[in-house]
Amino acid sequence: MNPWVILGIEPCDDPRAVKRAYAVKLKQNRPDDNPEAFQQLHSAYKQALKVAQTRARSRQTGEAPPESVVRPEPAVAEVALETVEAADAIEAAVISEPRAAVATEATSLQSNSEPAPEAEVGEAAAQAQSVELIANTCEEDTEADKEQAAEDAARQLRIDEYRRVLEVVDEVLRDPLTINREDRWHFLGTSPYMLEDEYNWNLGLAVFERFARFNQKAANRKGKYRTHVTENVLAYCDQLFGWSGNPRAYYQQFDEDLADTLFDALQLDSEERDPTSAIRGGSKLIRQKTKVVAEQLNYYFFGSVLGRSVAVILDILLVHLTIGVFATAIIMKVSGLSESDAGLYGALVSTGLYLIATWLAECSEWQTTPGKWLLGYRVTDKNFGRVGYWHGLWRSFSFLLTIPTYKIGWFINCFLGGNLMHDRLSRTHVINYRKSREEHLRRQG
Amino acid sequence: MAIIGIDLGTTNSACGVLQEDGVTLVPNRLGELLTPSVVGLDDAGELIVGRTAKERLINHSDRTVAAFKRLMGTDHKVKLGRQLFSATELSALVLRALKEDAEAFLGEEITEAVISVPAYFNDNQRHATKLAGELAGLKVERLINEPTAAAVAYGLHEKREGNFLILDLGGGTFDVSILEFFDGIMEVHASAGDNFLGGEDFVEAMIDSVLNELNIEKSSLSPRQQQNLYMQMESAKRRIGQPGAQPLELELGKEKVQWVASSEWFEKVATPLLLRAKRPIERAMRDADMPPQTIDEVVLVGGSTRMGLFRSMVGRMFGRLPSCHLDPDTVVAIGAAIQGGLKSRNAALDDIVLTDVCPYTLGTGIVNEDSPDQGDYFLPIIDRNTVVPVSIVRQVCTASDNQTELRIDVYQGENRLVKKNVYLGELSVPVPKGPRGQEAVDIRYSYDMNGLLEVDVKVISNGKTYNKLIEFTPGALNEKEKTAALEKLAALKFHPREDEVNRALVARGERLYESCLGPQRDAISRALGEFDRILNGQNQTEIKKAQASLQEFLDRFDGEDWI
Repeated sequence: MNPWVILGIEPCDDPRAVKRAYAVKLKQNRPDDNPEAFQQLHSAYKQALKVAQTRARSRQTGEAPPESVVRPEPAVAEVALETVEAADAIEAAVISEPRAAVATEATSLQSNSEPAPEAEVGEAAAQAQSVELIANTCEEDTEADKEQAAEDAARQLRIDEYRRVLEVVDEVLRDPLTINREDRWHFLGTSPYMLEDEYNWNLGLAVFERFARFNQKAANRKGKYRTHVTENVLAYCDQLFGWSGNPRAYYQQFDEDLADTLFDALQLDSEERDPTSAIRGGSKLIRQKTKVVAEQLNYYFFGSVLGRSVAVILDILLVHLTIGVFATAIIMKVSGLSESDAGLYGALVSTGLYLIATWLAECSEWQTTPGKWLLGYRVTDKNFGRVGYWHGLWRSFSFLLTIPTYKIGWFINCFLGGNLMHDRLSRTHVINYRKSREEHLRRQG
Repeated sequence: MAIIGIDLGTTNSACGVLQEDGVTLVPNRLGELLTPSVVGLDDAGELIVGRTAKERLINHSDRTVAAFKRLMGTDHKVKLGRQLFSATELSALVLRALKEDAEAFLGEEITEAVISVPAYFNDNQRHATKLAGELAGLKVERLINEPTAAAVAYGLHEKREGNFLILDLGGGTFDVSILEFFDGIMEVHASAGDNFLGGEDFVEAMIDSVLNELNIEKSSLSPRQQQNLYMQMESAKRRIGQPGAQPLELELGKEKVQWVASSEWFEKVATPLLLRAKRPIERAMRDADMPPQTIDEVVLVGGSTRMGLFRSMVGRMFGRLPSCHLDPDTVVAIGAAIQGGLKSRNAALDDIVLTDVCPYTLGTGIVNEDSPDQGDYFLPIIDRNTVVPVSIVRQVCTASDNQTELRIDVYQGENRLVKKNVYLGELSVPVPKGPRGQEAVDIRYSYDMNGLLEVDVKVISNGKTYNKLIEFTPGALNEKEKTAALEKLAALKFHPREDEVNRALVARGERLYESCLGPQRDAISRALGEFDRILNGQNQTEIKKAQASLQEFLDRFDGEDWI
């Protein structure tokens, strides 16, 4: 729909009028009351505002010469390129170069470069202000030589610090054992002048390049593993220099492969901070995993007696064939009993193991034994939740208790609606999970 | 019935209400406007919240806890005495204390509240905050983002139009929001932040630096020494830059050390944290497409913005002084109270509308066939800084032949791999069998004004829709657990309100007793004994007099205000 119609005004080139119209309409369509109408109104507003702003700008440019868009970024880029190409001597020059010169370079470059209609907001944060600084210093320069001297001294301090820090960087890079310990790099964060944009930018660039070259070299040595700067260190430095906030600037500085080596690693990393670090007090801090709540179904079917008998037979067979046979063989070997006697003991062992394995499996997060799983059965407590281990032990014990009554027990069980004697005794259920879930979804859908 | 506004902070909380003549902040039982977010149990198992609990952090650190807001929306639990508490429950106790204060102040029952949360709080943390409100017996009418609340307070106060950048550096979180005001509209353009950056981290960094330089393991300090060191550093942090700083007397393990907290040292310690704070600011400006020169005013919120270093950093970034005419500690509570008034359609606020954004990208996982070992790819559905409320649909299809079920994982974050993003929950829907890619579902994400997410799924081929709540959320409770938590909290009782002043004084005296030595210690002990005697006498005028004199007496030992 036409945004102007939604806003209820004629197309115009006055952003203020668009805002006014939006304000009026918005008070009739509060976001709380009518979210959809609000979304429509808001996107219409954004569209109309953009049109109005573009028109207003083109009208201005038609009347007056284009306002020169200040783009300091290429200047810094130029400077930084030198850093890459040349040795430390030039690096010093980068910073020590009188700012006035940098400023003129910036202006000359900017007059050459295409006027960019869309300002690079990314760079703007850091650099717009350095322009301001540069502008300020230019004025001051003409004011007094004394200030100039003080400034030179201050600049010299920064250059010295910059060199010193880079020396330490190289030193740490030479030591493969500690290179990936984040605390080894903390000297970067605590270095003075880090809060100054120009210094931070230049140092960040130099460190970026050193890391990238180091990792590239490590990657190119095929076959043999070589230490590289890992993600934790990169993430720490990223916080200091804000590399990932402004990748374009770095892709302009370095060739793509080189920049890729670090940005790929940075992309992989995410900051995971320990939320417990700042907690004060309390005798103990523990982490309790949220219990995975079984999906609440609205319809439940109990397992049938036949199905459950099959499941038990399958489970016993499984245990007997795997462990019982082994146990028999071992008993025969060790005690020298005859095959039939040893088989009896072996059966006893596997029955015992069957009980233990069933107990553990039914109380585990699977809530089922292999035999029951095949039939889609699950064991639950009376609220259809997972059975606790103590509760499960009681269930197994109840099962043992009902075994002596097997002569009439199986007969009774047939009439208990799938909720067998030992289930009732231990207050557990065996449900046909598959069938229950299908029914649940069928009714819900 | 009034809807109160609550600022539930990491370090301090506050509460306000909009009345005919503007917002009034609610004093707590000690008559103060700020209530420290500290919860403790006394020896009798009775509940202590606020300043009294904060004083007890040193001597009774095993039964008292602070800064638990950091644990909101996680599975962590804190043990106080013999009981386990989640951060949600602890927050609920603070909220209950504030609610009772408001009830006593307004003389009516309070059942509804607007609670502020950091703009950068994720879905889990927001749900946990809402749940905390419910556990405290408050219907949470709205969760408002802290910087937005501050902006509301400023906007109404200043009545100025233009673009505002709000920087909210609190005790535990840092938020950045860019807003525009015009014609009674407050539009948030972008929000960014860091959930683990606040005043507490600066103190933490100071402690680490001290221990590192003196070569002492933190674990070798007793809990009491750790708390004491914390308090000393905390107050040193406030004094940085002020003239006449005394060296601190630190008791570390068996030795006593003198430590000078110089500004140079602090600057060194704080630099990495300040650099971290710059990133969200830059990101918010980038997202809002607003370079620094388009910002008309920079507003500071949160107690930690008093730090000189932070101010000068902001000043340098924007080339102007930031403004902070309103008290940075209470401005969020004021904004929340105004929002409460807006909710109850207070006539004075009829012509004000607030629009906010969702600070994170929300999406789902999709199969990553390029490198399965990296885990699923993230498919964004709602981009960050989209204006809310919003509802967006994306279609996904089955990834293998004869797939019968489609699991939708819900994630929040900016990384292209889901495993690096925050997991919010999942839901599964059945789909008819068919070759891969034939069956498709529409996933609709709806993000409401509270910053809470809802997910709807529609299977295209059979038109069935599933609207399920997200399951498996860390820290979430089902109905049964909620009832249990309510019972557990209801069993905890506050002391009678009128006793609170005495208890706070005694707790402070006990703390000072711990940190002093020799004759000072004896003097404090005598004064406390005397005070006890007068309390037992139950003569109200005597007690009032004794309170004043004990207060004065204790002030001599530390003029520091811990709040």
